[in-house]
Amino acid sequence: MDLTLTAEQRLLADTVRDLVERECPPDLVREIEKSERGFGDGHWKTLADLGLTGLLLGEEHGGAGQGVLDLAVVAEQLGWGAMPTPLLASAVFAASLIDLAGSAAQRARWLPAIGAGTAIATVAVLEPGARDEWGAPDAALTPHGAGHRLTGTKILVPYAQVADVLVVVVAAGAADGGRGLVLVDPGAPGVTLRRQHDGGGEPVFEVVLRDVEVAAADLLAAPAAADLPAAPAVAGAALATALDRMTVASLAYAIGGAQRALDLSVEHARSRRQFGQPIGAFQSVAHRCVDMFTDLEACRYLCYQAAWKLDAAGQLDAAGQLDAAGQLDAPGGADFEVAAAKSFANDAIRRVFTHAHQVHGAIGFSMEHDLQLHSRRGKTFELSYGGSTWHRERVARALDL
Amino acid sequence: MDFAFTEDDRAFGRRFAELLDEKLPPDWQGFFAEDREALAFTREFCRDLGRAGLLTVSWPAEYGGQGAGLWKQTLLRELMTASGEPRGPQYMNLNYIGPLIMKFGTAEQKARFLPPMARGEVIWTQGFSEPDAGSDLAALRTRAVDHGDHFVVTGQKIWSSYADSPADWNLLLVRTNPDAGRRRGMSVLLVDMTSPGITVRPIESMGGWHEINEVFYDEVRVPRDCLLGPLDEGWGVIGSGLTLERIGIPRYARAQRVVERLCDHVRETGRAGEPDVRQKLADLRVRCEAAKLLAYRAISLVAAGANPVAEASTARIHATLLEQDVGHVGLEILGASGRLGSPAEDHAPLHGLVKQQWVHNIPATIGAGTLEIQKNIVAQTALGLPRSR
Repeated sequence: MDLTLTAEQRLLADTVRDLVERECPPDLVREIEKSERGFGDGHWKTLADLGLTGLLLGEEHGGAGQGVLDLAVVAEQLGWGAMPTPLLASAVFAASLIDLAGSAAQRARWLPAIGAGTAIATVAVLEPGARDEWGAPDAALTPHGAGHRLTGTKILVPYAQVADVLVVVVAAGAADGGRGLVLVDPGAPGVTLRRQHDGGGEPVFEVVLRDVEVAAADLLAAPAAADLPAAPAVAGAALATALDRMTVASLAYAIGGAQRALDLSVEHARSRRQFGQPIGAFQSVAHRCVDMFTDLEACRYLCYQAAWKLDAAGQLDAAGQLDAAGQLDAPGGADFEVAAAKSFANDAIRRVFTHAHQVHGAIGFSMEHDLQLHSRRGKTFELSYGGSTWHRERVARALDL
Repeated sequence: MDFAFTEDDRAFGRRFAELLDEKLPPDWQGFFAEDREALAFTREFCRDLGRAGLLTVSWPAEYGGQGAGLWKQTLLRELMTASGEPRGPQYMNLNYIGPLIMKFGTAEQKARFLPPMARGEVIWTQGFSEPDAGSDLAALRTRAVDHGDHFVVTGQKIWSSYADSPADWNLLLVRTNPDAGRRRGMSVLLVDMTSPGITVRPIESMGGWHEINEVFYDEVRVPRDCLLGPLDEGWGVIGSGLTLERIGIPRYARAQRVVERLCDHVRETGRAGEPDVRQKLADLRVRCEAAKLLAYRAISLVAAGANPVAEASTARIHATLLEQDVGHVGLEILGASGRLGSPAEDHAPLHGLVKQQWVHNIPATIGAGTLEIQKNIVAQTALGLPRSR
């Protein structure tokens, strides 16, 4: 038991923090948010040069073969700087799906490119009216000639406009955990992208799929793939694991943003004077800052624990004990830890931003102040990858209730 | 970063769990239950552990321990706290009074005071708060006048835990120099509770008989060799003890035990499917996890050689608020029948465990520094905010 970062993890955190402080000032974030592209080309190149786009991928794909915990350490610092980046959507969520459910040919086609940052992938999972990413999709394949046709509507797909490939979650039979996974070229006939605005700092899109041709080679977790474990429901299991990884990565990013909100609040409480003293000398203000700090510390170690547990569970998978249940909501290796972290953090991070705005007073509500960069992202975080109620239900199941 | 115990640590924990199963009486409700017999059991239990060399396993060998690491110590404390503290008042000896004597004591003091603790033969109380010095501890006025080879102590302390057990010894914070300023001029004395001039008046509390007392000192003579640490520097001595005390009791472990019993209860009574019950229990269990990890964070820093003042307070804030909510929310789940909270009541759900959890944790956010004092500590140490009142 040791809840301190290793020397390597501290170095990783310092490196990314340094990059964020030097190359991602808040004004640049504002500029990027207004841009069509939605991320900084310079940032992307630096992240790729540092090996962060390939952090989770195996060495056989040119990756660093590191774990979700290292990724969380990176994401936390990116969140501190509110850096708009497809890193998590591409190198965590989409890459995990392709890695866990792809054939050798699909992995070889996409993973080295995603890892090198020369390709961007994203996942289309949410549909209109969806409460969370675990809900059953309506998008469906119908057999057509040698392949299939795909029809459906996805929403809030991050960075779809710059993606080289979309991983689309589709309906499938119970034997596949009710989910299928399909690779789609966003430029293919029948695919229409429309920009949406959720205020979360990254570009998101409605993706309408109308009779899109899907070749057999573009089905992930296809039963015919010879090199996959002979387990049913690979797609469902892969989606469950990838969702957990993405949940933890986005949590780490949100913790970084909430930490920045705390830093700004403390700075403000020290320098802003009213009634002849810094407002931080009033306990009503100081204790709000402390509540932010103590909530954040709890989020941080719950998040690290979930990441650590996902890594430990991943090693079990590598040893051939892949969870074959394939049920998206069945208790898995890191179920309790991930759901505990996310259910706690959804509420805690909401409290942190409530306090941050109260400590800042009117200025924190203005767009010229940096707080809004983070509090907008904080709300998006809370509404992504499952709400507190859903994750607490997962915890209840893990407790055999 | 590693969130697993070593196999060695886990085996140690399993051995201790088996020992507890064997030693605890079948109707054991915990030391804090309304049962005076429990105190007699705790004395016997500590002597048994002492004879087996297990009471102070975490202490260095030179002081009667086995040098077991911090994590074994943590697992042991979790089991003890979860089981309703069968060591009774003596947990204080092990958690912070003994370690304070190790850190600040003379060779003679160590040889004199530590072995009886290791044998489980001595009960200590402490004297910090006074009627007019609570959160403002530095306002204390109990006076020790220096007479060369001895001090003469006069004054009054309050909220002294376990003083009427009766306690054998007392870790007492007194003012030795009234002219040195508020935080200077205090000293720590180790006081024999059989000394003439000491009167203990138990204070009846909502939680039972033996927790808190007033202690009056009327010209009590304390030999100079019972001064712990440097004269007039007692504030620093106590400060380092309070950090240990704040993480010394794994309060989350008891909270988690109660949550687990509540989970059993709703399963057995067919209520485990109620969405509201599921949400509430899951939330409490998650908060147990958070409080535990924050304690583990502070302990990890101790293991790395740091003095985690802010982290200890952070852990305590989460743990104490959790303990209170486990009582409140647990009772809400039990509903009206939860009103029967005494083990003596036939129809008391879980033998009154949850109601006991509620009543015993009313002062959780008050002792060892109120919630507000803990927050002040974090504001100043972790956030660098100005001192506030």
